[in-house]
Amino acid sequence: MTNVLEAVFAILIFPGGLFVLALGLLLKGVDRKVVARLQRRVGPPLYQPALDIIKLMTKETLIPDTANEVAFRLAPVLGLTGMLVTAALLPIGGVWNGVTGLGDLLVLLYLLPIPAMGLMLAGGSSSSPYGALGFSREMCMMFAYEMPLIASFLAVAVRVGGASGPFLSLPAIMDYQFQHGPLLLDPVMLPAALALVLFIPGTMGHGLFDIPEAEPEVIEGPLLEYSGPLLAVFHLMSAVKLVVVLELAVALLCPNPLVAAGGGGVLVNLLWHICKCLVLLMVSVTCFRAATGRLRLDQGFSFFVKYTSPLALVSLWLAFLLR
Amino acid sequence: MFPFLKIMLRNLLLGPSTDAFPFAPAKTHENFRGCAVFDPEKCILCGICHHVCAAGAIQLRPSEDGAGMQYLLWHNSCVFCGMCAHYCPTGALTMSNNWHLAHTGAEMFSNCISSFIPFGECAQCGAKIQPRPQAIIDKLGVRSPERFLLCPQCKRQSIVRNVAQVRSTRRQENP
Amino acid sequence: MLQFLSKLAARSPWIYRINAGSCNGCDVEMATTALIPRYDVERLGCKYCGSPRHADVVLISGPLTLRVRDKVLRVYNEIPHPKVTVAVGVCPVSGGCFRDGYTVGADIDHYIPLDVIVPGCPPRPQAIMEGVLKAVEIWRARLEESVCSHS
Repeated sequence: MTNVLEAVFAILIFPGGLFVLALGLLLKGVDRKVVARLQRRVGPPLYQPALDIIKLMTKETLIPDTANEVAFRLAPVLGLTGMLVTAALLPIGGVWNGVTGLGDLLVLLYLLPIPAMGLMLAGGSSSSPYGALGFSREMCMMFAYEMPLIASFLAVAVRVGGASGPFLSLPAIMDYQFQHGPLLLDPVMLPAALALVLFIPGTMGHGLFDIPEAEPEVIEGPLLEYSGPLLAVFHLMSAVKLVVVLELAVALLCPNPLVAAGGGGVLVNLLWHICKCLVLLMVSVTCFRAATGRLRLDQGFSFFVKYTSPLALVSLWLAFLLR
Repeated sequence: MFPFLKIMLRNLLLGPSTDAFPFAPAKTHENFRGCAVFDPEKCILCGICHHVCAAGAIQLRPSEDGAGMQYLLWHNSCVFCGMCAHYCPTGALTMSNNWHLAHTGAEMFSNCISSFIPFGECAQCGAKIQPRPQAIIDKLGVRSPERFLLCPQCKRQSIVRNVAQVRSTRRQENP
Repeated sequence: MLQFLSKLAARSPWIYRINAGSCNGCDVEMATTALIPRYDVERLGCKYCGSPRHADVVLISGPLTLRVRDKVLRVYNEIPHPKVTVAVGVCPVSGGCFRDGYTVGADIDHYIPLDVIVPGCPPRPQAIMEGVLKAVEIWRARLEESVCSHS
């Protein structure tokens, strides 16, 4: 019973739910502000994403006559719930060890594509030709970026497991790093770390990989027909997804807490965790987004197949050899 | 390799290059062609501005009682080409550098220069002629100030009278 | 509380552009307003969006030619309420130098209510920003009205 309560608390309040929503909107605000700064602009205030959400709540919801209404309404909710559950599963070093018995890499592999699925459902059910285009682009990109993700997950699991076979449990991966130092500093894991860092803009659709929602090409693709609160849910979903992928990369590469847990240590560790997320955000999203344009779909696809996947595979191979 | 990193670093250090405009007045060049400004004191109703206006923004409407003309310049049609100001013989029309023209839809039909210009009167017969403000008399009518104030008919008569006078004096001198 | 929320909501106007047969002059100025760091509309919370469904403030340029008239009206009807219309340039309000041309349908305000007009041929970017700020004020008033009528 307590386990269920714990899971509900984790999904709705902390570390999923409210905490992740607030953190996601804040990170988005920081991202926009820093991109503006990099382009020599002033940029919006940090709380602008929250204002956007409030604004969208006041707007009218339009649903196309030809759309499948159930799927159309379900898609954003599906994406957001999937991401909230994922956020609850992710452990934070020195603060939270995940819901007991649930967090493991295979579950994450199933949960991570849910927002993309939501977008695909949205694009498919909106009956707009641009939505359908966005749907096919999103699916192509998903096939492209899932490969390096799986390979780097496996690399981490094999490296952590050593001779006793791969470890898929996230708490075990964190324990290994608490004892042996973060995987980010492990030369064997460096290519996989790079692949994970490149996976983040790929899955968020930023910079080079802004392909499924390309505004001038397919007019925001799957989101084209959405307005009002449903669009707000999509924006919340993307905010939570940003936090989830950042937290995932932090958990896999460098979850080490700053001080021992207990007392005020939890708060310090939480801040430290957010700092790590911010640094990763700057590297993999903000600078990337500010400096790059958009690739064509085939270029984006072959980028992941040609460069990112081999990086992760190299790590996997090395980890396998050195186990 | 990666020249954009250098550019981004420089941008970070240089800081924003944004104008403070909505919160502070924007810098405007003094030769900026903004909305036209009309000085009814100088207008002689010659109509050249109406003739050259490419967008048809200038209208001259005779008033019903025939006492003058209604001069209208619609800012919502004006394309700021400046031809009217260029051709205006008296400098009644000039281009200012004021570009604060945004207005609400309710003000659509009031966003114009509208002024009534009364006709002048012929100094001799009292017929309606184009206005003859003092500023214009000083500028255009310096050669023959008294004839400048006459209506075309009186002007013609006065010229004929002058010519006849000159001829008769000549005849008296050389019979 | 709702009043306060609607005040907050009015701080994120998303902008959508409709080209109703414009000569592209005003569109270039709008792109300048959007892209150049010197003007930076994002600091006011504005965002240019690609889909009419996401828009709050509609910028219309061009004299509404016969060819695009039906399409413009269709796109305009796709924009969810409450929306505010800004006519950029003199063409939408009067036809500008295309007035009385055989391809020009009519004044846009016969079809679409124009809330704010930014005359110019084309208006300078700061003038467009001024117009957008005026539009945001109208929008805020409308939001408060609709919020009060709901509650």
